[in-house]
Amino acid sequence: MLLSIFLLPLHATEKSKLVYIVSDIEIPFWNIMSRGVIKQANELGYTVEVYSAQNNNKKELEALAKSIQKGIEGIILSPVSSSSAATLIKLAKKQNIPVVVADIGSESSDYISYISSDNRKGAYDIGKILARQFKQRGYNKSSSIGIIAIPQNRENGKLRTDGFLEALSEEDIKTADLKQQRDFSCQETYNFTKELLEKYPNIKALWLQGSNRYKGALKAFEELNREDVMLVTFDAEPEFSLLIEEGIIVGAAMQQPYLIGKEAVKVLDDYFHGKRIVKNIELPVLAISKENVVKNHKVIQTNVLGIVE
Amino acid sequence: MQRKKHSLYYALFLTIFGSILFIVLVRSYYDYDHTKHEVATELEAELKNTGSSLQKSVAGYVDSYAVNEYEKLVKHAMEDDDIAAILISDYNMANILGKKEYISGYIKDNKWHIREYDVQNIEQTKLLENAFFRETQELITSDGSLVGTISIYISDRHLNEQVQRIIVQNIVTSIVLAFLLVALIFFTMNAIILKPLLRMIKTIEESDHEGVPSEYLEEANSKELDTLTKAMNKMIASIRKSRERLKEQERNLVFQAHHDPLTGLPNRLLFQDRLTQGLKKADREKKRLAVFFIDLDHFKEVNDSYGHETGDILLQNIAQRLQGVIRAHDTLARLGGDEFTIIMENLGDSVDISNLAQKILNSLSSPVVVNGTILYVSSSIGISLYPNDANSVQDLLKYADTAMYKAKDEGRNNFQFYNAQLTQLALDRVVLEVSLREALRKGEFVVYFQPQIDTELGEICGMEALVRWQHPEKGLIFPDAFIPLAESTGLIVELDRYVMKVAMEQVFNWREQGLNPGVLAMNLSVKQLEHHDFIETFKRLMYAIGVKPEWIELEITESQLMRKPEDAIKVLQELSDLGVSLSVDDFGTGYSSFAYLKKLPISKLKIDKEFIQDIPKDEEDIAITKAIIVLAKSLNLKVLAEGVETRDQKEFLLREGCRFVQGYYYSKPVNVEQMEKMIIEGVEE
Repeated sequence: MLLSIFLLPLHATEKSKLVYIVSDIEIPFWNIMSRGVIKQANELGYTVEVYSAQNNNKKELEALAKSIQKGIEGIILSPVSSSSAATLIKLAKKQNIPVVVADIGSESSDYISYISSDNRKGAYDIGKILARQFKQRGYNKSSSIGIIAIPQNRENGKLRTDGFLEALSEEDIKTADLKQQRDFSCQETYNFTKELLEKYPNIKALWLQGSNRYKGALKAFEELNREDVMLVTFDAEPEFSLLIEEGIIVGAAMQQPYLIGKEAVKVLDDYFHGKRIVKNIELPVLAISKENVVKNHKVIQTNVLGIVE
Repeated sequence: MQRKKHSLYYALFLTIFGSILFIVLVRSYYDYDHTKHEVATELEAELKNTGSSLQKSVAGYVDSYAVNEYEKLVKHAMEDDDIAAILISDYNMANILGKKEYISGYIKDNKWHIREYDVQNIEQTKLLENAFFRETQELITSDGSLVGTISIYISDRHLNEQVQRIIVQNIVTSIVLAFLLVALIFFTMNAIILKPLLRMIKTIEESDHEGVPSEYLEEANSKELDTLTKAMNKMIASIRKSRERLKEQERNLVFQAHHDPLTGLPNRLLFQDRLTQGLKKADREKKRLAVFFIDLDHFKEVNDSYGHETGDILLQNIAQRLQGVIRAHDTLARLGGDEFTIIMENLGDSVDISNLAQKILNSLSSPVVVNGTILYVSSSIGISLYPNDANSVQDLLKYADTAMYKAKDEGRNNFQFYNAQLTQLALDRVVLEVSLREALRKGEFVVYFQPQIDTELGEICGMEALVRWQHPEKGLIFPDAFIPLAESTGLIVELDRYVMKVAMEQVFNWREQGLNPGVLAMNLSVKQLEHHDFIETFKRLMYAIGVKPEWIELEITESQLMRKPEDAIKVLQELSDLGVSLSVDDFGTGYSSFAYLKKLPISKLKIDKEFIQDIPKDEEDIAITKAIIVLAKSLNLKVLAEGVETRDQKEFLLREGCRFVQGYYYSKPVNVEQMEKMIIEGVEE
């Protein structure tokens, strides 16, 4: 009873402190998500501090330690890895601090909710878009698709591959090969694209499971004089709406990081208010092609790109 | 309290089972210890390996702050069954979190479930403390920096399981083995030892009424049992033999108890038994039975003169003769001394009896030659009859004895049948004995003196003290009537001493009065001589009264003297040393050895009246008397003739050189007063 009396005025009068620990704020996806977090927190009357781990375990842990010292009341975590997430969740739990995991996932399930994109559905949808293009262009059965994937030990990587391959399988389209990213550099994507196209001349399309190194792929197309190869991606860059309209990129499965950030804060708020919490929340991935890009322009601007007026 | 005795089976079982169990337990303990050591070594090695392999990976993860990664690794490593806990002390994390230490890891609870380690969990701390072994290694990164430690705890759970399994296996094996061995050893022992033992026990238990096994033991298979069997059989044989010996001894003892060792004839005991049986039989068959009591005449003299050895041979000889005379079914027994008895059964009439009695007399009357000496023996036989005289063993024997005395009285060498009057005679003897004692007590005996005369001088030279019994009712009784009885009852010693005292006191009185009674001669019984204190008593008596030894002469009969001449010489020498004179009484009636005669310290021979009474008619007596006188002179001895009743006899004796005489010719034995008168007035022819 005493505790309730003490807590109640705290929530009512003072702004509760939240922390958003993010793997790397420099990466647009996380940057967009952070804006969603901040936006929603402000709207609900929380103060929020954002700590970037700079894709470093140590910094991530230091951020947590700092947060604990500051006496924060809730954590939104987009971890360096699902493994590191487990450690942070464990440590937070010891201090009775609730954690909402926003994307990436966690090897621990001691979070109050995990909010992610429906990677499988998004990949499936983009696979279907590509298949339509295949048919429209009249590619025969000898034609195939190359994949440059994020590491397949990542849960989201696996889901993306599964959903995409399911769609292709339904359309009877073969996959030539799959390359996994290691250093996530532009050069790596360029090299992989080149290798795939040289090794498999029948490749008529390339699917990038990440969006940010698409330029490496385009450069390889150009050098090999294979501008005919269709490019589809998972995720999107601000310029994608235009590139899709121009047909340079055939389609993109677009996650909604801004929406995820907002949703994470909402779940925490619900938790503080004792509402029922859904443990795993999967937000839809937008499958955007030339046909629907214009129609979804506003949604893409806010939820995908975090551009808010 | 007797301790309870257990069977050999029980002892065997305990011993064997105990021994095997002990061996097996020692072995099990050794196995346990060895295995424990081995398993522990294995575990430690494994632990070190695990530690080393984990160390590198974990160090890398710690270095890269991948806490969850190393935790996963640790959790995976925990699947090893032997590992109880793995704890990582992460310096980096401690640093970040601003704590002294940051320890994370996993531990297995009591149910062996993997749990996350919690520093504050007391139970977990206890589990760690109880861990069997701990290995802590430093976490060093590839660039050489120390980022923490890894501690691996090993449980002894696996070790205990393994050891427990070994113990159980060992116990089961041991028990099975122990039982198998026990069974095997039992079987063997049973066949080799116990069964033969039981057979032995059975044989030993089947014994006769004296507990001696009836059969010998069977041979056994094993050497030791065979030795035992042989020893037992030897023992059984020895027992049987000694039992035979005992029976033989018993038979001998029974024989000895019932027979006379000298002649081999039944003794008094067997005689009485046979007589008892004989009486029963005679009673049943209405037959008569006779008891003969045979006593050899003068046997005592043979013993006295020739020694017991000769007497014994004579008795054996007599026994043989009697055996030859009686019928096969008659019983001949020796009751003792020279007394023989015969039980004659199935009698027809008294003629049979008389015939046998006469045959016995005839048979014994022929001379017997013993060691070259010809001995003449006769016997006196008393006969009692059943049922005529008596019907008890005691009475028949007593009456036969009485009849025998009658035969003696009748001049010996004859047989007499018992009649009631003889019983009266025997009764008289008993009455007389009682009276003798009474008389001695009351002083009824009086001393008479018979003067001894030196015929050359016609003077009294001495006197012989003689005893008379002044019976209050029967008047004066002569010695012949009571001396033999006094001798046979031993009263003679007391009587002699009494007479000696009275006589010596009288002589002393006469001397005091100034009279000269001459030498006082007194009879000395051999019984007196045999009395150990005689010399001392006599000496004291003599000095007490005041008589001088040279006044005294002691007479001892020839026959008594020659009974034990060696012993007599010794005592007589002592008497002679006192100064007392010694003379041989009744000389010529016995069997004197001249050799002894020479040795004896005597100074006088007294010729028996038997030789004197028929002088001068009997030429033989004259010759003997002359010879004795010559003998005495040649041995330088004085000689005195007894029983001189006539002048012719006196003169003959004087002529032949015997000047000392005693007899009625001068005076019969007289009382003190008369003797005193004779001393004063002298004797008249």
